[in-house]
Amino acid sequence: MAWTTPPTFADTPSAAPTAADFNALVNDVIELSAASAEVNPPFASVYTEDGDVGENDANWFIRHTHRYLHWSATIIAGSTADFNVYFNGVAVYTDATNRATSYVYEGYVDLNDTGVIATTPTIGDWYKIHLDIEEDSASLALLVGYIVESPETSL
Amino acid sequence: MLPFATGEFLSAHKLNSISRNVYHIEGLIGGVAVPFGGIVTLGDITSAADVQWYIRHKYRYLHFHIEIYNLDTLEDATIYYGGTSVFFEGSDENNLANVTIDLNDTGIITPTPTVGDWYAITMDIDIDGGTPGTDKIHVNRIYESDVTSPTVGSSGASYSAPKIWAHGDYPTAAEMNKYSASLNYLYDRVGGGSINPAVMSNRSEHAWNASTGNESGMFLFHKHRYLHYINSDSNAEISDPSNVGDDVSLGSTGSWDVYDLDQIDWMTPGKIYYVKFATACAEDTTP
Repeated sequence: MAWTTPPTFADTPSAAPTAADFNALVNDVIELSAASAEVNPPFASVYTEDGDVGENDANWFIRHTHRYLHWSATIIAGSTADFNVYFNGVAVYTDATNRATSYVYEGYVDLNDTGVIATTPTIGDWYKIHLDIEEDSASLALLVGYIVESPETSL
Repeated sequence: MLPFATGEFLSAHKLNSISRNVYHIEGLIGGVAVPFGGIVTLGDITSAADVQWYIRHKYRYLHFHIEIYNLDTLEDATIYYGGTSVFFEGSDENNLANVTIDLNDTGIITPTPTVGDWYAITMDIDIDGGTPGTDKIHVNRIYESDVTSPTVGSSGASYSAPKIWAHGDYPTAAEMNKYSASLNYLYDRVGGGSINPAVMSNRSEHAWNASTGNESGMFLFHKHRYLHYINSDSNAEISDPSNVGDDVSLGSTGSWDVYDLDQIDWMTPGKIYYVKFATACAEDTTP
């Protein structure tokens, strides 16, 4: 079986749903059920004591699926001067406040917000995320806990 | 789900089997999407000494996409499947973009891998020329697929939770079209061609930092019942970042092991948890 566009139903006697219509729905459910059972990979968190974090340190590539891009990063030691999230090389979030040990950068950006993301990404396209974090103290240690997409604003 | 036949009585039970399956699938596809565990290097990648990925074999085609920046030439690149070279590029290239390897081609892969088996992907990429310290290799993504060019849908439909029916309900077009809209929404996200992602091995910057207790490791968003893992040092464990649930120690046979997450009472769908000290891990629907 293969995916077929589901039928459109109408409230008219001549368009009453047929067994074929219902079976088209069943077929698509079976098709999607197989596709939804893929391996669920972990997010490999990144811990660094190397000071500033930039594009040369870590990138993440996401196949666009959901509207909101979430992140969580914790200052383990030292302090930061700023924290930036880049979408395909363009800054989409900036926190320019100095932050101290134990501070948790946690937030999200709306990928449908064309005021932030110049072109709303197309579902299925791969895009790159990297962080640009400047240290305020030489002893900065940072943990990037996760970066994920979600259909919701809260995880 | 049972098929429908012309002339049969349309029962709430049968319609509900569609509704509940749509809910179930939405729960899996509609959860978080985790980025591919790629890497950036400022120099050569030398086989497993630097990094390796694991794939639980499901599909025929192995895809990878590697970008190379700021250098004059790529000296050569070799991709290894379970230690055997399956791809070699010896000419100058800027990128190894969207390369596909047919795992059923026994001229390259012998024997054809068994579905459900885990195998390792490693690579040697030597760069030549460019500027020392600025040459970069990005391993962007590695995955299996059942097609050579995965696609997605483009209906733009929104998810609309289907009705749970009761005896005597009338199937209006509005309620029936929720099935169509929701299925289109879900198809938009998985499309034509399944993606079975490679799982990155644990590297030093991803490892649990025992000396400081820093909460680094493999973060998972619980979706499937079985956790597959390699516990090379026999000290891997599952932890609850909220410090509410008890840690769970994982056994070790020295290779891939499986843990049934249904045994953990604090493990709920969508729960964020981490696996510490494991070499690699991933959830799947089957043991």
